[in-house]
Amino acid sequence: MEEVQSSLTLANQLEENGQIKDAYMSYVSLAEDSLSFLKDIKFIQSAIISQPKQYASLISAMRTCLSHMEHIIETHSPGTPARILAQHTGDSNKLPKPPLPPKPSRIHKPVLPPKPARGVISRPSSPTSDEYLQDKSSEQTQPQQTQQPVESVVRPKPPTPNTVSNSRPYSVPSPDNRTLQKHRPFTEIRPPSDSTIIVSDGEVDPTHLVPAQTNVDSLNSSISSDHIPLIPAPPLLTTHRILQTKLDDLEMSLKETKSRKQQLLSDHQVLDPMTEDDINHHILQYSRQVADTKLILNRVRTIYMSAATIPTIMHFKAHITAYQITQIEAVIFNAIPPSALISHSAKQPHPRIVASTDFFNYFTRLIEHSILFPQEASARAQLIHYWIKVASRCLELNNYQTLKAIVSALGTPPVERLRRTWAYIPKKSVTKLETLGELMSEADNYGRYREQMGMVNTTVVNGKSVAQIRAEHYTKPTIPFLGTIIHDITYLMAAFKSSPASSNMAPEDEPRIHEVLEIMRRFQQGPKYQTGLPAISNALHRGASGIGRISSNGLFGFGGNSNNTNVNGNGRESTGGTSIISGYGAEDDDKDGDDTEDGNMEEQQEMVTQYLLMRPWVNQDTVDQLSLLREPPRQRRTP
Amino acid sequence: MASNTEFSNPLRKYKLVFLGEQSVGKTSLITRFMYDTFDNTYQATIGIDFLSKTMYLSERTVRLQLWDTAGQERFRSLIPSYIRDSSVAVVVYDTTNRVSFMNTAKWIEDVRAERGTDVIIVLVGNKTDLNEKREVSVEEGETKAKDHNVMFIETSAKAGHNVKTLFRRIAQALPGANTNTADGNSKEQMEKVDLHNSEGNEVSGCAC
Repeated sequence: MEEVQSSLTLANQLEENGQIKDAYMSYVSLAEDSLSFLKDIKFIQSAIISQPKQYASLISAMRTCLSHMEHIIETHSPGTPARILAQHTGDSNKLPKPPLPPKPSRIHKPVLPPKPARGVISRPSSPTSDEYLQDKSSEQTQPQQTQQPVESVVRPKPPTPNTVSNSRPYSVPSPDNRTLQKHRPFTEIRPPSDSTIIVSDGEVDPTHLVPAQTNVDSLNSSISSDHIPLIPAPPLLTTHRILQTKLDDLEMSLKETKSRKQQLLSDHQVLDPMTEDDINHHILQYSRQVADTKLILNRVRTIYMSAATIPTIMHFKAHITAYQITQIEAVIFNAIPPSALISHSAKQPHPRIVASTDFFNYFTRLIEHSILFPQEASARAQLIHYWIKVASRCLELNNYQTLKAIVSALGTPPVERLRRTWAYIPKKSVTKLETLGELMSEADNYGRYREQMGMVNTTVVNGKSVAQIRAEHYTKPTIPFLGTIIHDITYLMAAFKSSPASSNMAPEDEPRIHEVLEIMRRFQQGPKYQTGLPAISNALHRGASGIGRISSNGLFGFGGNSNNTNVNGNGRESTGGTSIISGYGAEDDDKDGDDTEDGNMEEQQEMVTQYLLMRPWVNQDTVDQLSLLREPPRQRRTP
Repeated sequence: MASNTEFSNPLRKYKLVFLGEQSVGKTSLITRFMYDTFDNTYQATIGIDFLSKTMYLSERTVRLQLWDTAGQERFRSLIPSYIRDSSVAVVVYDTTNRVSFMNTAKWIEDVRAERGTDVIIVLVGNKTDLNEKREVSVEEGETKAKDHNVMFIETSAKAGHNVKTLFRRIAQALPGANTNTADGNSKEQMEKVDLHNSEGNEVSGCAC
């Protein structure tokens, strides 16, 4: 990427030095190069399985190039002052396809808030503008322009390249979005929050899955054979994309309105005062909306960036991490139709079950890698200790799926073999892990766990009625471990298929199978985890430095003066754009964030989710090698 | 303590873990082996101590606990704890699927890495009933077994071919048996197995 950057700087210098031709050609070749990198993409059907490295930067660089080229053409052509809008399309099509140059850098950072300030500068020639131009050209003469930004925000296919994978099915628009489609009266002076609440409320969509980020490194030989898990897209990305599209649309509308005003001025010399008022009014509205949106977008980026620069998961309190991971797991679990258990097979895996196992694998690898990352054994020990705390919290939250994932991750060979590291773990913590490990042990077909859950086929366990045990679980939000459910169904199906009954009975009618599906259903229909963290934990997050400064107002509630009652439950009544500013300012005066628990906590929650879903996928070999690097084997380990 | 357990509990339990890609027939092998008990009792015993079977050999009696990853192969990080403390690893491939055969090397390595030589490994080529679709020859299987120093057998869970033989051979090869094929370290392992054994009894107390 540095190459691209330096070429860009070079071209810029040429341009400034007046070497227009050289500058122009530099931009062209840089754009060509960037374009050819962007061909480095792999599809399976319409799903992207491997994206171009640093695509966001590449696209951004191309935009910059195109905008400079456009500028050069415009300012240095004889007698063609008017802009020819159509040339945008021409540019990209005309580009010849050069041979693939050497790749600039192999590291694809998972970071990249897609468009920094540079994107704004180069936007006029953005490849997406064609679409806006089309939109506009048909609507230019219509008076009701204000409606447009509202509609365009909910447009289901924003063309911005920020998304990890545009080709995947979009998340279902949230109900909030739909209510916004109603058109606002034209005369309303402040069109504030129609623009802002639209943003998805930051929930994880279990059906919008994207490949985990990958760090392409020297070990990439095994990458092709390594299945990269598909995990839920980070909600912040979706938010960012929607906002960016909205901003693009707004800016376009603003520009249109301004040029219309100019046109009117030049055409008629004297303006009808009504029209001028009208137009000025529009311009004011758009300017406000643009400003508001930019502000929010900046905040999204700030959080996005903060999450990306956080060096370790330990930055977050264990209970918040546990809560956020539980929310993600809950969404994934609840999306599995019980009938999927029956149709699921090796040859025809059910996508919702695969989503669960993929996330399990992603998360366990994330844990392994987080532990193996620090060089110091004591630092690794802190991470193990941390994950044990998270595991305990998961048990409190009845999240057995994540509990099992953490216990498993701490027991995989690359982590388990770290004897120096384990020596640092306090005995209490080790004992805790052993207790959790016993609870989730496979021994006796997950005997202890089944007892705990009442998932046994007797009527009484340890003097307690199984029906009662189960009923108690159904009254609390619970995520069972999917493994035992799959295991039971596998065996019950095997028995069912070999029984004579199978010829005239559907599998789900077989009583035992029916019972397992029913258990699954009951858990899914049970109470849900609230979005906000339970109150007990409030004061605990103090000292999470830096985060508190970004803002206190709930990120996804931003302009939340809508009729939607406080999506975030942060209790702050705000009024559109101004509230963002005041909320922001207020936070600045309150840097320690002591008394802004709600907003602060909520933002931390968002950041944890973002952090968890943006970890790079590290393959098995890398983890194994890292483990050997951290603690080289001396002699054969005694079991 | 170990010796106490040995005296007080003559019925030894051994952990057999079944490994291999999805749909090679691990579950079928187990259900076929358990058939006499499985079909009649699965309703009553699914859950605790579900997959255990006592084998009566001429010189002694052993109880085999079968640990199957059934359907959970996708949860990759679950596998190490299945392998841990196992006495026997049954690595299964499908004779009509070459990829499943290629992947057995990885499973064998994983078991060796975790258990060293304190484990009996059996390479099993299943689905011999589908002979016309065969992609892996008997010789290839034998060669691979020899290369990795593991036992080898071909089976058909569907036809019931060689299934009993497989388990009988495993039982005979178990440490402590007269025909012991395991090497020097077996004492340590028996302690492990015994420890596990006593826990198991506490939890299950099952009469099956």
